[in-house]
Amino acid sequence: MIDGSTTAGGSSAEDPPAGRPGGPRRGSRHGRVSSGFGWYLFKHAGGAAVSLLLVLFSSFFIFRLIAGDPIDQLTKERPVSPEQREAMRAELGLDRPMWQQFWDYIAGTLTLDLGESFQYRRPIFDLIVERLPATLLLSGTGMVLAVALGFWIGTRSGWKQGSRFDKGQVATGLLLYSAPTFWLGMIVILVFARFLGIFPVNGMRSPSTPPDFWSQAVDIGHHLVLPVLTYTAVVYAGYLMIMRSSILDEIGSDYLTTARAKGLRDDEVRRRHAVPNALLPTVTLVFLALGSVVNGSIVTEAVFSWPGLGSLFVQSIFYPDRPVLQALFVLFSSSTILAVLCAEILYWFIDPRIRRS
Amino acid sequence: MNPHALTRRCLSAAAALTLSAGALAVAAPGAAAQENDVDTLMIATNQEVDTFNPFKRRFTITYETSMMTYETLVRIGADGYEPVPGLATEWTESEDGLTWTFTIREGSTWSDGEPLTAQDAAYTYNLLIENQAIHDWNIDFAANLVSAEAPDDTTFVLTLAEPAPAEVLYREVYIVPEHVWSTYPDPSADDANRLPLVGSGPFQVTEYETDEFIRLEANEDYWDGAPGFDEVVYDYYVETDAAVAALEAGEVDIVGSGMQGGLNPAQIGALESQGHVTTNDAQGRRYVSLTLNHGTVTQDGTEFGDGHPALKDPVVRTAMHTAIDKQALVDTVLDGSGTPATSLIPSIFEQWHWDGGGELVEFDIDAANRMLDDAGYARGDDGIRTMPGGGEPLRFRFYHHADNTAYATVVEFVTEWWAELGLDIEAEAIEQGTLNDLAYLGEFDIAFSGWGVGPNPTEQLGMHTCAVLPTLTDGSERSSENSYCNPEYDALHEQQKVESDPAARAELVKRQQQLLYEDAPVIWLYYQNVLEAYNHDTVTDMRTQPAEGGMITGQQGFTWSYYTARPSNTEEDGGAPVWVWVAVAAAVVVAAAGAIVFAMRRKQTADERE
Amino acid sequence: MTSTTASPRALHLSSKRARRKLARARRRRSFARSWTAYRSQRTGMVGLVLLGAIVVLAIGAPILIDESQLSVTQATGGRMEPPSAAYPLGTDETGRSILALTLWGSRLSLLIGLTATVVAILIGTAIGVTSGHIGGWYGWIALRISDWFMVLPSLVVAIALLAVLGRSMATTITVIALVSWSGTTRLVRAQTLTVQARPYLERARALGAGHWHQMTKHILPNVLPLVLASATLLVPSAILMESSLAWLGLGDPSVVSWGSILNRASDNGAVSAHAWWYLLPPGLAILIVVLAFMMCGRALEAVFNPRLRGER
Repeated sequence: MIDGSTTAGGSSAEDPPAGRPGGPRRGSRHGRVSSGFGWYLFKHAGGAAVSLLLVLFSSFFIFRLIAGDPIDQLTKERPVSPEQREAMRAELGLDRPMWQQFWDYIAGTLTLDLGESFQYRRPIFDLIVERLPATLLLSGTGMVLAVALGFWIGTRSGWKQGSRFDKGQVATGLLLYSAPTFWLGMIVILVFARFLGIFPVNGMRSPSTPPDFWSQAVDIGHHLVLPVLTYTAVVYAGYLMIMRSSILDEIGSDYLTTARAKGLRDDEVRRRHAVPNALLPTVTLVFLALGSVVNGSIVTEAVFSWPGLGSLFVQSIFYPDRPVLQALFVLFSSSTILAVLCAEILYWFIDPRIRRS
Repeated sequence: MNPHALTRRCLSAAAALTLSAGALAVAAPGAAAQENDVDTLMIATNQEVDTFNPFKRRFTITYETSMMTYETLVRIGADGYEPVPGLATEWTESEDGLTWTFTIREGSTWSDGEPLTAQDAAYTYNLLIENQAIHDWNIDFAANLVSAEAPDDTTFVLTLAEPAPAEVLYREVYIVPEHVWSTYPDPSADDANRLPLVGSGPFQVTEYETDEFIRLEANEDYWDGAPGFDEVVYDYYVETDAAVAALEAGEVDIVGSGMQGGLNPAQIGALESQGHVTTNDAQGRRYVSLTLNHGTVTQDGTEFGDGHPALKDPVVRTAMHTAIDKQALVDTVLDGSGTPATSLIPSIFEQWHWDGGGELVEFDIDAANRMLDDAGYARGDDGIRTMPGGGEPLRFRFYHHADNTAYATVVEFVTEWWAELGLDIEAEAIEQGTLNDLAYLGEFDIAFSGWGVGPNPTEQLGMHTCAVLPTLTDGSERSSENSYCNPEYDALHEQQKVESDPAARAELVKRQQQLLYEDAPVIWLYYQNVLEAYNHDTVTDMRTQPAEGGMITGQQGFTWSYYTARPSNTEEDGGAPVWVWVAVAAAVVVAAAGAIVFAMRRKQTADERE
Repeated sequence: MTSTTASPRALHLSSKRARRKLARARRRRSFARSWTAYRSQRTGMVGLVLLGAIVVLAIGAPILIDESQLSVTQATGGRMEPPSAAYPLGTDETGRSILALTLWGSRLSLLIGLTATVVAILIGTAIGVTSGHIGGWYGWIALRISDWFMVLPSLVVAIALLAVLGRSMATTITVIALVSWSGTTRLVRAQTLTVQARPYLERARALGAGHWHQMTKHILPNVLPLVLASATLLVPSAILMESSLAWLGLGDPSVVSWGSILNRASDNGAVSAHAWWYLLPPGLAILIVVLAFMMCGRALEAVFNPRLRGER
């Protein structure tokens, strides 16, 4: 959510190609040279490929710039002899020339052999596979809830623009949207876990839980409530504002007037006509917001010590665990790049204006 | 569709949501309350496992699992870190100090039932001598080993190149089972991680899930008697706050140095109010110090780095030392959980610690100012002192670890005190890696440092000898703490290394510390206590190390506490809280449902009005 | 590129003063118009008043509360004391007043947020206008780079860069600016393209106006209102980003900002100690500032963006 500019209601800094709802209309005016889906796909996939390459290269060099001898980190506050240092360097492959390390990294990343973590001494691929479900669970649940809540309230809010409900919802949404995620998380922990004691402070599991499926599921669900609550509370306003303005765009349309003239009830006009039309352009925005999903999940995972990729990233920064940082940077960045590409492709099918231009 | 249908739909959805949340709230602790017959000692941790291979492990957590899984010939005692019998019942050092003969305990077995003999000890020490990787990894000790033999099943003979009594007794070499390890293609590699581990200690690692738990099962046939608990489980908590909450909720039994960074005074304060928790403010093995750049040099005397010239002057360093109120730091930064430091060896090692003997520097800013005045460091117009004869102002760069807020507070204190001396301090928070790089390049004036000291102080003392000065100026050799080189200190160091009489050795070690204190290349600020807490309703009889004011977690040489720990009998059945939970959850559900009904009603009327 | 024949240039120069005057008057009028439109937005006005109050408090902090209250050696309070008459918002772990810390924290939080935004806007506008106006290879590369920055998850990039560049106020500002300029670039570029298609710019080109003249005299004035609105929305995200980074422990711990106060609070176990007075004030401060900026930003958007003008 930190990235206020990507999801803030009707905010300015916008993404290709959709921009703010209604944005593409403006975008299409100054002409996209296109000749069919093939060219469109080629152009955007090419752009994504360039971005991916940039990420791959920069990841190696950025983290190589982290100062300090990794050996110092591995042997924290214990004296080490030069021989031990050498032995550890060799084991971690740090004694190899830079170009060779680079080549290993590129070849490794492409074959999903991401190397070994400094702090865990385990293959990074395994680490990621282990932690991915936790991240997907938290940000997936959070995002689905946020989108559902945002769209639901946004629809009603936009439909009854200016009503007390609208004003109240927009105000509440903005208020929560303004809260720093980590702070809201701490407050939620303080209130629900410390004062009331009805939810666990953090983590994903209680160790004493019996290993059978249902006990585990209930336990994880119990741990999931506060982080999801925090995450959803902060981000749903973004979707609310998007949906609301999308509805506002539709509200004056001729077809709605026609529908009303046909004698349909207000309720039905909204559900059968306005919502489906407003929904289409908004759906792609969900993809575009993946960057902020990553941002939000990093902070949320950090507050709640949720054992996912976000907290792994933060932990690795402090270690610093260079190979893990490298891998996660590539993973996070490429997933957002690919999500944007998906949004672009989706847009081709949803918005006829792109095709026509 | 009538408008009430919508209300109903929303209501039922909302109710389902709140109910399920409420159900979750109630169900989880109920599930957690399920009991089984295994007595488990739960210890909170957040440290990763590097490797279970006892020869290569570096992390504290694997130090503890190695201590429990395997055993050393000589244990380190719980009373005052003194050597006591372990796998060896007795030992003798030859006249020339080169041959050590150990009598191996009869009747001890490995956790898989095989007998443990002197052959295993010989196999283990021979790994140190012959296996290249293990040898390199432990070079500081292994290089001195000549041979390791087992003439019979209870006699083990170790031959050294140079006498090293303290090293032999304190060096923790974990005896590994030959019948298992000899099947490994490479004992230095990760084969040694194959679970369950086979060892001879009180508990063996049987199960490990990254960031979830490490399970160790009791060795019922342990020669010293079966441990009180059936198993020890290290349970992972990323944040200490979570571990604290788990202790409060009775989900974990011990929270202490297993959590990196440890408990802080606020958490201890919160825990003290809990009826079932005992807190322990134990002395620690760790010191926090300020390194002053008094001039970095290589072995051949080449100066490098860019330390401020004023810091070469012992008067300036002593004045700075005089202007630090160590007690105030302990009181505020540590909330009293620490001891003002004198020199290198923390007071927990009573045997080796130098207490200053009435010659300690007293906090006195005026006296410090007079020292600087007398030495000719006059104040300029801006109040900043300059080098004698006017010249470079005394402007010092002060580097501290950016990720440590306690250090940041120390820096604020010290900077304010030193400002009163007319020193211009530029404090800068930097990454640990950068700080290390700069420190070893000599490109700093004042830098934070801190080390944990072991029961054998040789390693730490050795960091201040001339022998470890770098040969290059590129900062790649990192064995010298601060380019300290003093022949008198070195002579004492060589003597203490070969001194077999602990009392005589203590004298030498104390003299070394005094030299460091007087020369002040480093100002030791405080020895940080270990804050720990445990649930006395579930665990009792844990032996601390040392006996007086000692710690439960972070013990050295043998895990006395976990071995002696026994389940308490006073355990209550956790029935009552469930009712509280149900009541709270029910209240929440009712309140939420009420609020939703109210909101929907209002909304409905609002909708209809429009 | 530009044909500087004598006559149009002379004409251009002679009428310069008059035209400038005209332009000023026009701008004043349009400003007045915008202000009227803005004033009619209640949330915008509330935000503006809130902001004003906060800025006054931040600037007046040294008068209200002496800097010595931030000194650890002179702190008089106890360790994490709950609110009392002497310390209306309680104390931190060194016995300093949380009220003093929060008030002083506003200065750096605002400073970092505003500076980062200004830097981001400057970069964004410069690249946006030039890439839109000049186009060609340069435009394509600029677009690609800004696209790249836009799709990368900003917090990930910021954390990574801070880990590499080290922690200080300057690096925090740089990093936040670096992850937020691309949005402005996009916006400005699109607007530039729109403005460029307008007839009067074609006229200016025909009259031989140079790139610099076109960009500064015609394009910039037309994109500035939008830039202003987007800047108002960038500040809150910069402030949020700063506080998140500081809270994660990636800020300079000796700097007193809201984020670093919260970082200290969590490092010192304020949650375990139930020290709500240590957590609430800095967080609420962030919330209020962010909210105020968002209210203003939304109102400004409504003013400058005709599509939203109907909204109140």
